[in-house]
Amino acid sequence: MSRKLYTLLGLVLILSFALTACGAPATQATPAATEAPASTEAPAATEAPAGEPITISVMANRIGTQAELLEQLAREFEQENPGIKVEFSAPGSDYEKLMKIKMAANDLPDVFATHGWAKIRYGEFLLDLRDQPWATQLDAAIKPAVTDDSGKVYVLPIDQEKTGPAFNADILEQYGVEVPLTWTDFMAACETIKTGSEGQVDCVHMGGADSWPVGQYYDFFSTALAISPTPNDEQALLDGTYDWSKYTVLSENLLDLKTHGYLNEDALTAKYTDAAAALAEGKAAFGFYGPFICEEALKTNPDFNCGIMPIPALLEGDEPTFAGGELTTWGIWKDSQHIDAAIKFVNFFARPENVKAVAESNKAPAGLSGVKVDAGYLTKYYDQYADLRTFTYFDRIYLPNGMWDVLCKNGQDVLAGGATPEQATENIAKEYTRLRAGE
Amino acid sequence: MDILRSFKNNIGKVRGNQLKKFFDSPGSLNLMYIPALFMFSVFVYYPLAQGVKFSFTNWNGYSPDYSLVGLENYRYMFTDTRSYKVILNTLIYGLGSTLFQNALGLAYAMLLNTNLKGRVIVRTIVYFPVIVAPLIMGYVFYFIFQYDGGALNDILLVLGKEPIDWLGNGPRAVWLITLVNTFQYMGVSMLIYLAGLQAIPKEYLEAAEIDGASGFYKFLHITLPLLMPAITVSIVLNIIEGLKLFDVIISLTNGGPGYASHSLSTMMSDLFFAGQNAGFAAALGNLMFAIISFFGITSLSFLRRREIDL
Amino acid sequence: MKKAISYLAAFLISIVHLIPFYILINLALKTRQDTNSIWIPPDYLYIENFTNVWTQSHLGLALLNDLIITVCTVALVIFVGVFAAYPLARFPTRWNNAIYTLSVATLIVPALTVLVPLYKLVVDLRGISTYWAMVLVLTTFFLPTVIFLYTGFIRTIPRELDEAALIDGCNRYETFFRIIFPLLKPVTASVIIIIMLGVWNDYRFSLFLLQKRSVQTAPLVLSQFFSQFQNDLPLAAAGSLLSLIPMALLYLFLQKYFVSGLAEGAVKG
Repeated sequence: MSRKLYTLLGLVLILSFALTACGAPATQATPAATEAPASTEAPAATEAPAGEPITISVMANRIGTQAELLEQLAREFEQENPGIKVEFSAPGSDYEKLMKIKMAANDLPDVFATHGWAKIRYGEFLLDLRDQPWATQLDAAIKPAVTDDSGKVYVLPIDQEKTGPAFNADILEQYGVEVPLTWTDFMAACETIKTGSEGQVDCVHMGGADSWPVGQYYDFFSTALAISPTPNDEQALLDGTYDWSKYTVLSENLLDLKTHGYLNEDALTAKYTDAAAALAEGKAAFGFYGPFICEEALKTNPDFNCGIMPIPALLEGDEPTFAGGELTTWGIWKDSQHIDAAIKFVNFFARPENVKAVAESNKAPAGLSGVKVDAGYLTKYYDQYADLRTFTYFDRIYLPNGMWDVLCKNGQDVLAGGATPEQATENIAKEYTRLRAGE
Repeated sequence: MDILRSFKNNIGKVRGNQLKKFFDSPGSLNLMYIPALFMFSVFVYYPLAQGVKFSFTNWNGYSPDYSLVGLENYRYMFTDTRSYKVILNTLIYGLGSTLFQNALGLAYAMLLNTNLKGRVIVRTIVYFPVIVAPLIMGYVFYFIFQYDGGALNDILLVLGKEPIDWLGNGPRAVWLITLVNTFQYMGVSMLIYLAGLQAIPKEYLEAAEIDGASGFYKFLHITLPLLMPAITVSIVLNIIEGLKLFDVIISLTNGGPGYASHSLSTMMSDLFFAGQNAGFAAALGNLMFAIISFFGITSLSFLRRREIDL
Repeated sequence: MKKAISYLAAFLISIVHLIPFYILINLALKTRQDTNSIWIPPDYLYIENFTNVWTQSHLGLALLNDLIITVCTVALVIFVGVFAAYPLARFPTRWNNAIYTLSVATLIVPALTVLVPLYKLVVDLRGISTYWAMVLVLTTFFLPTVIFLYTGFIRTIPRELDEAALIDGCNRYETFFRIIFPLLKPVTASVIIIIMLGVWNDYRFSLFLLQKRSVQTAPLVLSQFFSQFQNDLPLAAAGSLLSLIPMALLYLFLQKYFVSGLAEGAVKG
């Protein structure tokens, strides 16, 4: 009896190995699946000899509707190119982790998104795209972020950011508040909203649990502090001679928001989606996010009246600004086995109608010149502030790779009372030196 | 098995006694763990050696270049104040969880070791959280601790009190995470103790009662000593798992606010991926390995010595 | 009187332990616009959450992948583990003890330290997003637990049995297969359950080794789902519930083996 049991177990083992040895999950594909059936490791040929389909791996860092749109376009590409299959993946919050491990093992996807780090982080892994037809049509605002002095074009910028804080237009109207263009005005507006609503409406909602909203605050106002005014510290930051004691004011302002009661109670444990919901339901007035939160908020309340404002100026006499930089991009791994297919994929996305579709899903300007994007409900704000300057996100240029997280975490510490603004600045400066030395 | 025998007999004609002696000796059995050994070497120890190497470099986790920095990472580790906080948290997660899990597990086991009707149902219910993926468990409790609309705050509101941001306070978050971990795994301890209690011969307890021993005396001098093997297993496993705690922390607080609720393992992950400081992360990993080994081995030998053989 | 207290305690304990699941089920049946407290059950049943999760995240495929990987891993780890446990339990030579310690030490190795070199190794072996690489890696990391439990259990089998078999003319291997192996059934049942749980719920290895969506397992799919639909709590709750069901069913049917096997292995260990 036991003999039979073991022969059975042995058979199961052998059977399962036979199954796995094929390594082909294609046999289990459900009819509902939109994924391309995966072939096992592709041969080293770059172009398929007639009939043999190539599979390219594509990874995007977007989630939600944006990711769905990208995937849909990828499927359209497949239909146009029957010899090429696309293995599309959008891992969400684990994207950067995965990419780092893949870089360490030299195993990158054929095509991937660079989310702002095309030059600094992914630069050495990217194929030069300067000979592509769209390379001459790069929009002037985004061009410096995706090219370098030698003329190398790192990625295709489909759209670009033009971001400032978002706000609930109805709330502002209700309490008679004008869009504040300086920090002093901003604090005054908060006071008005707080007293007017008897504390029911949070002036600013921050979803600090995810930590990146905190970093967003620092990014926004670092530009206002050190880059946009004249004179500014741009050169000092590029040299590494910046006087970090100047930076403490940002942490102090953040703490001020909390001590004055302008910030939501659960700033440390709320998430980005909570901020969207709070704005949509009229429980908060401002959020240091960007146009993307408008789309998110509309899902909760379709009647939400979302507005975008520029980043308020910090210093006397300075003008407010917008933050800009890469938004949706595609880069090609220079060691990819399927460079030609990857190039075709990227060029497909460079078509004006596709650029328009992606940019509109983000309510953002296109990255290629000559594409008209309808920004919908945000058009009036873009028009209103059309003359204001846009600066690339502070941390992508002036901070060494890896500082983003330091800003986020130290900001959280300041809000939690675990660090004073001075201590936070100390930590930030320490990490700055360490990371800079490592570059 | 007959095949084996006939094979042996035929070979025997050539090599005769030598082979037979080999298959009879205990040493030949050692061949049996070679597959396991092979797998360990390839998938664990070879990567581990490389991982240790990284702790002596300033690698950022992804680029092909890095350089050796000797003991710099370790020096930083011992001078940075955050390290101590993280080590303390780890100890709370490990030792705190173990304490609660075992105390409660034993209490539950003693309760269920009687002829209570429906005890199987209670046992099933208490054990159920164990099968939930820790990640999911974290999300479930997030719904409970949420500030806006969380289960606990709803109750507070109904009672007319102010809602509390449960996970927004560092030390409180650490203890809450410990509680969630306890909640999830105390079923394991309970089952181990239940099995252990059931293995204690009734005659011992009855004899003691006849001799006039009180309930507490029975517990201390009969039950507890005979439970030692169970206690050993439960405590050692709990300590190791508690010190390694990861998924629950990530899904509840992600180590926050700031760095306040990080354990060594979550801090490692954060440093590696977000902080781009793979060298330091590796150094922390080695520290973690040392700490867990220390606690695991000391508790094991301490408890083993007190076991009584049945 | 004592009985009454016991019943009360048991009742309270059950309620407390059921609360999280009550909340989960509640949430899963609501629509995302429902702003009532999560304590209050909805007076409708929004089943669409479940169907949406199923189709949108291809949960069916994920569960199938989970099944394949789990079955293969469990089978492999038990075979390799039992083979390894026998000599380690029976012949505690210095060398063998060292190997035993080494294997248990693997439990302590932090996964992250080995992650990058391991990933590189799997890439070089062309094993990314394949079942066999995942099975091998998971087997290796669950081996310590299996070896630990089996050695403990084998030690409780009286040596006299071995010796009797030897006297009867079996060699060492025959002793193992004919006499010891059949006796391992009780603890095998609980080993299966323990390993199955660990493999089914594995997240960290799956995240990096299973990158193609067609091979991804349930925890992976769900966590992506969570990050994607953070503000649709009911949807996420439904997903969590669905992923619980297979293991829950297994547990409910096999729980008696659990307790008995655990008793043999753990207590006498």
